[in-house]
Amino acid sequence: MNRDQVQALMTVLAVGGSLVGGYVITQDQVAAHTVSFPTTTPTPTVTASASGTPSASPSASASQTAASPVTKQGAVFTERRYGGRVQLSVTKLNGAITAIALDTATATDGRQGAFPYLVQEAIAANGSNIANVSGATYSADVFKQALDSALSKF
Amino acid sequence: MNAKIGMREFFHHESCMGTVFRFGGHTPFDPAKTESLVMQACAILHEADRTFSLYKPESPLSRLARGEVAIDDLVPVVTDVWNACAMCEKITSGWFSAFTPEKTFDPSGLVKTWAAKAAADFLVDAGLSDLTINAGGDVWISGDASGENDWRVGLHKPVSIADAEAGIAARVNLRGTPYRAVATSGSAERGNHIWNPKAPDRAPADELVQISVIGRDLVMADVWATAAFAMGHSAIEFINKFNLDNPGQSMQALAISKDGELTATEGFARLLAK
Repeated sequence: MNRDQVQALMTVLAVGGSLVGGYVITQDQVAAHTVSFPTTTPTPTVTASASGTPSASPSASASQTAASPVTKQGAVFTERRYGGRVQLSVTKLNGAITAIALDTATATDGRQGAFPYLVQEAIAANGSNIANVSGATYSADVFKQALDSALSKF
Repeated sequence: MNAKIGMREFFHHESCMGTVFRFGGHTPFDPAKTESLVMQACAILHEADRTFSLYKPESPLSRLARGEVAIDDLVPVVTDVWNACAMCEKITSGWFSAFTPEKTFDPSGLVKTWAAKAAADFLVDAGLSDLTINAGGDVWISGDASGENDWRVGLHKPVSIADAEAGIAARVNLRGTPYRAVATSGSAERGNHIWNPKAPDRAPADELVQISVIGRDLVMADVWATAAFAMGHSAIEFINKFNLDNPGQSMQALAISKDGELTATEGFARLLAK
C-alpha cells in the first residue's frame, strides 16, 4: 500500500474530520451540545446539559408497547484528571441506544466544555459496534464507566 | 450480542497504574463467582503495580533504581521482567529499551500489558475464556470471545480525549485474522514521553504523533508500538520488512506523523471493519 492509497483510504475514514462511524457531526451541532443520528429509526437525539439538571427523559407520550423507550441513569463518576464529575442517562429502544443525556458534568479548571465530546465519542462507539478503543485515555475510560453504569441497569 | 446461549455478559473496570483496565466478555458462571474471579485478576494487576511502580518510593523497583538493592535481592518476578525487557530489546533491534536516559531500569513500557496478560491468563485458565481486556488503551481479545463487537476495535484519533476533535479514526475487525491485540503509542495525552534509544542522549522521539500496532500478543504489540513510535518515519517500512522475514510473527500498523501523513503496513487495509 503506497502513501497515496493510504491517503485515499484515510480520506474516506475522515481522520481529523467529523465523520465517525457513518455519523456526521457538524460544528453547529457540537456547539449546541447536540448530536443527531442521521439514519436509524427512530431518530435518536443526544442532548448534553452541563447545568446539572437531568434532561432527555423519555417522552411523556411514550406508550406501554414493546417499542417504548427506556431511560436509566448511571452512577456519578469522578473524573480524576480534571476533578470533574460525570453522570449519564441512556435511553434505549429495542436494545439500541437512542439517546444519551449528560446529566451532571462539572470540572474544576475550565474543562467542562470537554464533556459533550465524551458523549459524542460514546455515540460514535455505540454506532460503530465496538467493544474497545485502542489509544483511549483515562478520561475516556472514566466516561465509559459512566456509560456502562447506565447500560448495566437495563 | 451473538453470545453463546446461557452465557451472561459481564464487564468490570479497575483503576490501576494510573489508568483504567476494562475486563469484558461473557461468563458461564453466576455473578458471585464471576466477580470473585475478576477480583483475583485485578489483584494480579495491583501486585504488579506495587512491585514495579516508580511512583511508589518504597516499591522494589524504586529501591533498585536508587541503587539500594541488587536485582537478585528482589522477588524473582523482577528478574523475569528484566529478562523480558532484554528479549524485547533484541527482537526490536534495540528500538525498545527499558533503560532510561539516566541509565536506570524502567520497564513501564512493558509492565502494564505484561500484568494484563497475566490477569488474562488467570481468567482463561479459570474458565472465563470469553474475554476482552483493555489495558489503558491496549486491547486484547481471547480466542473464545463470542460477541461480534468484541472483535471490533476502534483506533482513537491522535488527539486528547479532551480535545474538540476527540473520536474514533478507524475501526478494525480482527475476527478470522491471526491478530488478537491492538496497542497504541502516541503523544496526544502525555507529550513526547517515549525516548529514542538510538538518538544522542536518548532524546524524545517526535516524528510521529501516534502509531497503532495490531499483533498476536498483547505484550509484543505494546512493545512494538513503543519501538515503532521511537523509529518514527521508518517504522512502517521496518515492520513491512520484519513481516517478510518473520511471517509467523507478522503485525500490522497505522502511523500518523506530526505532519498529518498517514502510512500503513501492507496488510492493514484488510483489517478495516466493514
